[in-house]
Amino acid sequence: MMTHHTLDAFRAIRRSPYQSLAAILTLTQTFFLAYVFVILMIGSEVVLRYFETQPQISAFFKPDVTDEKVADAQNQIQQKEYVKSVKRVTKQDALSTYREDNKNDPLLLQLVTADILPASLEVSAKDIQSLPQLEHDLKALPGIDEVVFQKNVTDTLAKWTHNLRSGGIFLVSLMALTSVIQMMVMTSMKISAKRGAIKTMQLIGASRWYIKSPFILEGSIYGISAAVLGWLATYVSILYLTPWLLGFLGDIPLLPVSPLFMFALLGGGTIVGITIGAFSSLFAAQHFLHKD
Amino acid sequence: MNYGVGESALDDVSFSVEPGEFILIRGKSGAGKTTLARLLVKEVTPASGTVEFDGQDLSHIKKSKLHMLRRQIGTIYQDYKLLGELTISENIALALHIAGKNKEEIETRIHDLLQLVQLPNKEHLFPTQLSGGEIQRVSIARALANAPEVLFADEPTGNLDKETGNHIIQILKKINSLGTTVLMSTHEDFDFTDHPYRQFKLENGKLTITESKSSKASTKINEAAKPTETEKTEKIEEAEEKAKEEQTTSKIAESAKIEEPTEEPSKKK
Repeated sequence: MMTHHTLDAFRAIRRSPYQSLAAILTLTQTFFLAYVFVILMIGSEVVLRYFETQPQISAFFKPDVTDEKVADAQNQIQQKEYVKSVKRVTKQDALSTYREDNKNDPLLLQLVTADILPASLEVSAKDIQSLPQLEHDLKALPGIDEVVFQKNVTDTLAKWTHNLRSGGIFLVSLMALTSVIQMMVMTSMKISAKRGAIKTMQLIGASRWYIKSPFILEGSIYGISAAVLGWLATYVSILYLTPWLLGFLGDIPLLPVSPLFMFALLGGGTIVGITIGAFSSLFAAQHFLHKD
Repeated sequence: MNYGVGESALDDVSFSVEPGEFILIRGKSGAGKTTLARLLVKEVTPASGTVEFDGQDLSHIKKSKLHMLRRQIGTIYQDYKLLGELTISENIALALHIAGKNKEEIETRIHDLLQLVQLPNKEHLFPTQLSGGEIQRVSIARALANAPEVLFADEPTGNLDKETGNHIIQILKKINSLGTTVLMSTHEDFDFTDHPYRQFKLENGKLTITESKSSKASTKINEAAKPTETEKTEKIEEAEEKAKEEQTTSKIAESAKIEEPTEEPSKKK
C-alpha cells in the first residue's frame, strides 16, 4: 500500500515539475538559513565559553615596576579566597608573546624591547560575582597602571549571542511559516486539479487516509529534499569559508566543524523537513476534504 | 430530498428492495434517478426521511466510515467516472487496492473481470482509446471488483447506441441472475421479457410502481447456495459465452450478418 502511494507521490512530482521545484527551493532557503543560524548559535556559545575560561581580569604594571614587586603582588592576590588562579606575565614573557604575534613584521620587532613592555597579572575569580572586588583589590596594588576587565567583553558577547538567538529564531520561524503556507497552497492546487479523481475514489470506497496519503508523502519528499539540499549548501559554504574564518577566529577552537556535528544537523533537519512537509500537506488535504 | 430552495428532487419516495432483485427505475431526465443513486451511496443526505442499507440507517454512518458502505455498493455511472490517466487494468485495480487487496489477488481479479466484460487483451489501454460501450464495460468491471451486494447502474446506457446498450443490459441481467441485487435507472426502453424485475417510475420526484415480472421469491437466491466471488465470475463468464453462442446461432439462422457492436472511440470524458 505504502509503495503504491509513494509511486503516486513521485508521479505527481514528475507531472508538475515547476511547482515541485518552487516548493523545494523555498524550503531549501528556509533550511539553509536555519542551519546557518544553528551553527552560528552553537558557534557563539563556544566563543562565549572560550572567553569565559580566559583570565577574567588582567592587571598591567607600570614599566618601571620590577619583577620582584610583581611577584609580591602575585602572592598578595593569590591569598584572596575568591581568587581561582593567578598567572604572572613578566616583561620577558610579554616580549616573547609580542614577538610571536608579530613574527612576520621585522620592523615592529626591532623597535620593541622588554623594558618598554609592562609586566602583568592574569587573574581568574572563582565566581563572576567576585569580579568587582577583585578589580578593586588589583587597583589597590602598588605600581598598577591599568586593570582590563574581561567581563565587559564576555557581557557584550553574551548580549550578541542572545540577540543572534532571538533574531535567528524569529527569522527562521518566519521562513518556516512562509514555507508551510506555500506548501499548503501548492498542495491545495494539486488537490483541486485532482478534484474529479478524488471524487471518483471516494465514490468507489476510498477512505480519507487513502486519499490523503499520496499528498502527505509528496510533502515529505519535498521536506527531505529541501533538508538535504539546504544542508549541502551550508556544508559547502562552511568548507569554503573555513580558511578565512580560521585566521579570523585565532585561538578560538571552533573550526574545522566536526563532520559528526554536521551529520547530526542533517538528521535533525530531515526530521523537521518531513514534519513540515507532511503536516502542511495534511492540513491542505484535510481542509479540502472537510470543505468537500 | 431537495438541493436547496425550490422544488424537491425527490418527494415522498418510499420503497424497499429485497436481496437478488432487479429493480428498473424509469424516468425522464431530471426525474430524480441520479439523486436516488446519490442517496444510496450517501453522496447526499435526505432533508427528511431515512435511507437504509442492510438494516442500517445511512444517516447514522459517520463520514469517516462512509467508505465501508461504498465498498458494498457497486456504482455504474452514465459518464463512467473512470480515471483518464490510468489504464483499464489500473482503473479496476484502484477499486481493489482501495479495499486493501494484495497484488496477486488484484491481478487474478482483473483478469477475471476483463474476461467477464469481454475486454481481454485491452488491460493496457487508456479509457480514451476505447469506445463508449467498452468504457462502460470497464466501469461495470470496476463496480464488480469487490463483489458488491448491490449494483446501482445510473443510466448505464445513456451515452451508448441501442445495440451496445442492449449488450450492457445483458451483462447486468447475468450479474443479477447470479445473486447481485441490481438497481438500474434509465429513460430508455429495453426488453426485459426474459428476466424477472420490478419497475418503478419516477416523475417529477414522485415514485410509482408500474410493473412487476415474477415474484420476489423467484428472484431471491438461496443464501446457502450463494456462489463465491470466483464462482460468480466463472458462472458469469460461462453464461456470457453461452449467450454469445446463442446469439451467433440465431444470427446464422436468420442469415443476417451482424457483428459485435463497434463504436467510434468515445470523445466524451
